[in-house]
Amino acid sequence: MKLYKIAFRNISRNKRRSILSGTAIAIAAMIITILISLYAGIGKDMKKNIYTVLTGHIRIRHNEYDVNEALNPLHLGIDNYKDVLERLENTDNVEAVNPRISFGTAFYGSPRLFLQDVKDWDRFITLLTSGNNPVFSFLKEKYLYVRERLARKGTQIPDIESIASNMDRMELGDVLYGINEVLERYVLYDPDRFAGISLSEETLAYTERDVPFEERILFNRLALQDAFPGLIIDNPRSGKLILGMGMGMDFQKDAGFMNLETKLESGGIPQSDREAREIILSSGLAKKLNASVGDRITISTKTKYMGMNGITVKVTGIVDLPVAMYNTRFFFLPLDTAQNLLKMDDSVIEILILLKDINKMNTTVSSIKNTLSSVGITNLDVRAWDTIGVYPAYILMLDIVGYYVALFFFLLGSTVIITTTIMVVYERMREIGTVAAMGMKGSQIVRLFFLESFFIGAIASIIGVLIGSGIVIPLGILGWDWSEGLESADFAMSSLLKPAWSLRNTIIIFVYSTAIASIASFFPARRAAKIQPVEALRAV
Amino acid sequence: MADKKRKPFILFRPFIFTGKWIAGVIYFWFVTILWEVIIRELILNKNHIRRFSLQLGLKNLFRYKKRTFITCIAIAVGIAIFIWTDAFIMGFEKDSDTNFILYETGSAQILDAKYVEEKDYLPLKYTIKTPDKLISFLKQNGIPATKRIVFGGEIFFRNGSKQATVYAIDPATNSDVFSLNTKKVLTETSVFIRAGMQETMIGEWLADDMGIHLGDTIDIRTRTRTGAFTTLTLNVTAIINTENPVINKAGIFVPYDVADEKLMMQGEATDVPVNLADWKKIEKETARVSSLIANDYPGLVVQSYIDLFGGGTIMESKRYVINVMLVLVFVIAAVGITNTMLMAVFERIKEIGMMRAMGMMDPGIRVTFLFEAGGIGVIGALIGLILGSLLNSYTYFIGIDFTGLMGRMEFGYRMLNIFRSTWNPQTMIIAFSVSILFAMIASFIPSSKALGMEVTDCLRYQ
Repeated sequence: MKLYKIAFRNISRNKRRSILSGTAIAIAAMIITILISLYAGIGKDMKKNIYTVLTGHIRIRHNEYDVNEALNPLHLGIDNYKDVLERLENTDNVEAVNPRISFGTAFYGSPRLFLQDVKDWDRFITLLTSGNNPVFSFLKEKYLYVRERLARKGTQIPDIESIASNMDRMELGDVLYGINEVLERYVLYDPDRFAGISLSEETLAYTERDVPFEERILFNRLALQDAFPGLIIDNPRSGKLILGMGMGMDFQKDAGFMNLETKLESGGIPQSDREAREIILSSGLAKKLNASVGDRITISTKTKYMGMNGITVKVTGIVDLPVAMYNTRFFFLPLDTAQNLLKMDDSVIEILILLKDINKMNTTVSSIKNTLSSVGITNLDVRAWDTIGVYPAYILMLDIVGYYVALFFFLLGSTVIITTTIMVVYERMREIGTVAAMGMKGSQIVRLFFLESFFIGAIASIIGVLIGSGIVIPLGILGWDWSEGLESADFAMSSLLKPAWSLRNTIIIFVYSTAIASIASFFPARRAAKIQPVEALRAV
Repeated sequence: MADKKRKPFILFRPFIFTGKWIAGVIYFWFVTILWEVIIRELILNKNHIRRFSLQLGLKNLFRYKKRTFITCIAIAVGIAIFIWTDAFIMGFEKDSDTNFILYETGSAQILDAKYVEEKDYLPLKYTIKTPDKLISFLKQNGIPATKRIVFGGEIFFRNGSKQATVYAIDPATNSDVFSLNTKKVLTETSVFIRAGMQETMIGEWLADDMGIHLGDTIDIRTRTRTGAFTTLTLNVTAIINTENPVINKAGIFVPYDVADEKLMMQGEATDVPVNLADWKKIEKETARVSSLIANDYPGLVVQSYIDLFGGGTIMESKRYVINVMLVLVFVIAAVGITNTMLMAVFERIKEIGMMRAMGMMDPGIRVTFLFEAGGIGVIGALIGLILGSLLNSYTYFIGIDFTGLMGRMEFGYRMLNIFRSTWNPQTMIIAFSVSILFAMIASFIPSSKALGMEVTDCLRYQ
């Protein structure tokens, strides 16, 4: 009789024992599968978030920029970037390139009205267009004046007649722009206009003194709130310091990097036009600012020449970024708008490159270096993303922790498998005695037990990895949502974690579990096979 | 929205936070019964047959040395790895908490209720109006406290700048709460900032990043309370190297009175950190301070370092990952213990049949097996505790050094390079108890099954 047949028969003969030892192996294999996928998911996600958002596969910068990075040295840019870009696009293995300018800024609570600051737009528009209310009549009169003034400067805002509550948000934003201009310039309060309206203490304090120019809008908001309760909300930005990270980029070339277009929550991609002055906010930042599509916000920052400059830009879109840290800070604007704001002329800070084949990273880096030096550009630093700053340490750390965790679980899983298997063999000492007495050779006995364990191990680990995969794969598609709060950590982990199931890992786990189970049976079986049949028969 | 998102984790939460206690209660209930049985059966009971069953259990333990050994190993490894993992995580969090308290927040803070809501934006409008009065009031009640103004600003040095959070601290009282003014923290010839002087103290990593040295002058541009721009020009007199990476990376300290004047704070403070000595009972302590100030300072709230640090934000998500791991470790260990035990008893159904055939009563057999399983559990768990403690001693006394690997990386936890574990007797006791419980339950099921069968069936059982 063939040994494997006996082995199979033994397995099915004592079902309970087979199931018990199988369960241990299956559960160990399942848990290891889940854990490894979970961990691989975190790692993959973090790497992707780093190279798509921050570094590209290869990053090109001025070679002195990195040393001075903490100082935000805008003067260390890539001057002839269009030329470089063209050459890069023609390089082998380059999938996509994107020029970028990143800069930090702080939004101090703007007192201007944002679209969402007005609670009741229907009422607001009725008041403005009907002309029955003295306060709004004044507002309307000044609005018309401001409109003319803006038109002279080339900015069109809607006429009073065309204002209706069914306007789209962009047009409504234009109306609000005009209204904000009025509120910044004129004082709404006048004892006649506000006759019969009881003012709050804070507002009264303003009426008693000459209100300086920059405080007029504060005063106007308070007065409006007193006169029309429920119309506008308290300034949600008041006194807040909101940090932002601006990223000037070429939206047409974003495919493969952040794919902002697919992450739009509302609105659209900005026009690449210096005059248009449009930006996209990340949804977390928009929430902090209480801004929405159509609003205008002012960005002020340090320019290349260390002076301060500010521009007012229109929000054309809100994107939802997967990483909480980015999503509460980032905003995106066309390259030329950023250049205009930072007085960068026609230079950029960095060029990010995505590769078709990551394995050819090194050859591509050197071919880019050659291309650049052949045209006399020597002041640029070309780097693979895994050699940039803290990222290599980051990734290494991630991997090492991953190995530790895997080792840990393999160790624990193995003990479970080993103890179960050894137990099975020892329990069957008498059986070994029987078969030995009947003439089975020692080597055959060892092989028999080995085969049994192998079959049980194989079947159990298949079931284990299948169940594990069954849990992990749907989770990988649906994603597993962590809480939002990864914001303040220097950690590029997505809030939506997708475990990464891989065939390779699954096979490794399967092979490993089977092997451990088989090997574990080997030593006790060998010992059992060596003792005299009589001894084995007498065993308890 | 946020709460909805967190739902998947609710599965694990009761397990982690209440599971230990439930297991503990079950265990103590079980142990009480066991002791009662032991005392009654072994010592008080003169019935030799029943007394015999206990002795038999004990004998069995040593008779089947191999089986006992294997089962013990399963239990021991499970326990060792579980308590080690737990100790490591606890150590990690404890160190992180300590560094957070000593350098960043104090063990608790008194803040304006509205400030808490907008804390991330560092508002200057919600303040504590009379911090000095509050501090002296707290001191009378034996609680050291200090005052701070925390504000956002941009540091300018040479031809660069960087956004940063600036802490205006009161040099006179700061050391009552924080450990910033110590030899360990101050590097080389650093001199702690002095009241009324245009001086500043910055984190070492920040200094390196920006190329700032002792004696340099930096500008901090910020806004006053009313929103006007203002600039503080300060001389760097101290560079500090703490064990808190956030302070090293972005900490800037200026004298309270200098900031007070420049920001037009009129002697007010954004927060009053207090030093509550007993961190372990922080919730109780926080409540005590709350009730102390409730009458005289309406509108102010007390936030413990846990509220300030975690508060359901940064750490919770990471803690979840760790808890998931801990649960998985527990599951594997539990499966190992139960499975080996189940197998050991199932194999002996024939033996049970024999005992019954020879006239041993069912309760006696049950006690025999329970006692044997309990014995295996105790031995295994003891080995596990010793093994776990050995592993833990290494990580406790020496720690795992990630220097070089981590560099100057910050990842949310206030931890630097050397990771040390801690001793967590609670987990040790519970793991010890639960594993014994598991072993006993696992032996109880098959032996009960055997007792329900006909004696002849037992004897024929394979």
